[in-house]
Amino acid sequence: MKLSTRASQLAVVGVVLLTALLTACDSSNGKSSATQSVRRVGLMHVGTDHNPPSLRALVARLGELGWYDTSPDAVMRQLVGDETKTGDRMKKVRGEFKGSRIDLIWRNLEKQATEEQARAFVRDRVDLIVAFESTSIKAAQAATARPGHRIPVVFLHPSDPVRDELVKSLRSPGGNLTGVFGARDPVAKQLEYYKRLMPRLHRLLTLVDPTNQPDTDYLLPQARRAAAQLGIELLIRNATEDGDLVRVFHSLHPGEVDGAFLLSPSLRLYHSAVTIRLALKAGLPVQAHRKEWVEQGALFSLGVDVSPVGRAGARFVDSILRGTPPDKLPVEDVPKVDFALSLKTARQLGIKVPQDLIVNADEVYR
Amino acid sequence: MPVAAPARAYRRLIWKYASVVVTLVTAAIVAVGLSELYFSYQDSKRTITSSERAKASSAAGSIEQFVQETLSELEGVATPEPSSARFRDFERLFIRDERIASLTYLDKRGKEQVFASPSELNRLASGRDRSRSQVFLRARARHRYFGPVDFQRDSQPHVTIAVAEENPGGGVVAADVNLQSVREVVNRTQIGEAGYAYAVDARGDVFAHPDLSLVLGHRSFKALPQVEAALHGGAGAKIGRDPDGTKVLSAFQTVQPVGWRVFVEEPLSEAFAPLKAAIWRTALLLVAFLVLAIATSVLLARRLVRPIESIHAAAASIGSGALDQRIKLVGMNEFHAVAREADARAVAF
Repeated sequence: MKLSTRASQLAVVGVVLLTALLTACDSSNGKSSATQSVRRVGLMHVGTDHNPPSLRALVARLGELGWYDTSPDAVMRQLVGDETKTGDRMKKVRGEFKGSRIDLIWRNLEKQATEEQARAFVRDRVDLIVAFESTSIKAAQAATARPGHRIPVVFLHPSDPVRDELVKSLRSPGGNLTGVFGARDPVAKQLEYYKRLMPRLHRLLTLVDPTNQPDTDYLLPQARRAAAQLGIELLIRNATEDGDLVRVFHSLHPGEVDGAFLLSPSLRLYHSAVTIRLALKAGLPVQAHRKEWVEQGALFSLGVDVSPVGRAGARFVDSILRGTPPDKLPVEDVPKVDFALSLKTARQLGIKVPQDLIVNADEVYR
Repeated sequence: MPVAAPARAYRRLIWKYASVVVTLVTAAIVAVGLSELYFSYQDSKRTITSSERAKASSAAGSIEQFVQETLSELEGVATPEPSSARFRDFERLFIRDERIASLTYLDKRGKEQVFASPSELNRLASGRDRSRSQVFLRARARHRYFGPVDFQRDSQPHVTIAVAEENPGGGVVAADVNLQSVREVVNRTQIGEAGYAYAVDARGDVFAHPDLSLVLGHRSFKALPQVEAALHGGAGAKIGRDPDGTKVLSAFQTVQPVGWRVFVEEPLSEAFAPLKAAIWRTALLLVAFLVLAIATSVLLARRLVRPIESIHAAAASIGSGALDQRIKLVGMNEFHAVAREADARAVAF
């Protein structure tokens, strides 16, 4: 009787011990519930006359990657409001979204405020800067260049990250900058489309910004070669600011040119709205680099489709915030180009668009 | 000393009991555990590799279909016709298939007559001599040509696919094809929680992987054991390693006719996670039953030794002349029979 009592006690102890060990073993496989600190991301863009279309795609993809549960529309409202304009300027150029895992700080800037904003992001010790387009990218690069200030920078659609010396190579960025870029300024193809849209195109007002280097020096010879092949004469005029563009258009004689062409990326990025207005007033077509400008009066656009660029950029933001160093993330290119066409502008300017080009277009505005 | 002998007997008996019981319990648990683990491991491996093979085969089939579709489209525009008509056909093909980045027509002498691209300047009758290029020579000799995977402009992977023009043309139509759709195929292929698929070209360079950084970083997977095995054989399964050195269970399949390899694999730690849990459970059971076995054997030994000690002490007392000494064991087992017999002898003396 005594033995059986002890044996039962031992059995109970054994079962308890075993259960405890098995439970401990099971719970050791569970995930740690340690909470992560809120990550802060500064987003900067130069050009208060528009918001970069890649921003919405970036915001949507970050949500899919689990950085917030809020809908992308709600996050966008916090950042850019209802995206309406006052004159040529977006009504809301600053905004913040505060989430439980990530804060997004949006700054849409005038050119002269870019460097100070980049420095402010560095002072505020954000975890990452997302810089849209060349001017803000260069400002972010400069602000994070010094040791101790090396915050990772994700760039979205620069002209050419290697040519602009943002990275050593696409494969091995070799610094604190990496990101996504689209097709490298297809100026030759834009001229080809111009000629196909307007077979009688002979003289083309070509607007270049001599201060936009090295891009202008790189693109101008390409444009000259293509124009020579296509039988187009380029009438080259310098312009850097809106006032220069006004002077150039006012100096044109009637019939002097058949169309206008924005060559330097700085002019396309920051002065498209003004150029389109001036060109239409002068009865001239103008090309653009994005379909959004075709909607606003450009005859056609041939350029990178920026939505995939924004989505691809979110992958970089996600990886870096999760601990991957930027130099371990090769630069991604999204080579697809979109051709958009405005039949409305063509009608307004008396241009008869060939049917095969209408069929070829990714987007047609009627 | 009369008490020394029983103590030694007691210790010896305890250890004999303990060792016999522990050995039996351990042998039973280990034998059952090991055989169970072995068969579970074999079953799991068979099930997982079978699933991986099926997925690798399906992914290879999708990629083959993409290659065949591209070939058919190229054959559709590889008919003798004037350059202007060919140019229009090329443009229609760009609209139908966004994966094609450029199209070139080389005439029967290998001179470029048409080059069309959605992003580069078109060229008509440029006359560029490509008569000695692999694309021209091989496409003419074998009717089809598949080039090596190439990273255009140091970034996205592309491949050149070419077909020979129908007679009497004798030329070649070559397409530069973006391999993004292969990436979409491998991204769609999933197995388990941490499983994934990827594709390498005939040299072992990865060109489609869920981790795009590996592709854009132009990583060669040639040295990985499973890739090495796949490059020497058509299809199979093998325990290999991922680029970080983690062991993986991998199945692979060849994509015909291009000779690329598709892999579907899962980290061993995840593939055999149920077995790992079983190993732990067996080990814990072994420890628990060993503790119980030792405790039980000690208790049994003590119960066994106590009457022997009584008999031994009484026998010693009787031997030293105390004939009125009795053992006084009560019960009905063999020890009590011995005690009653000893008591009866003492009374007789």
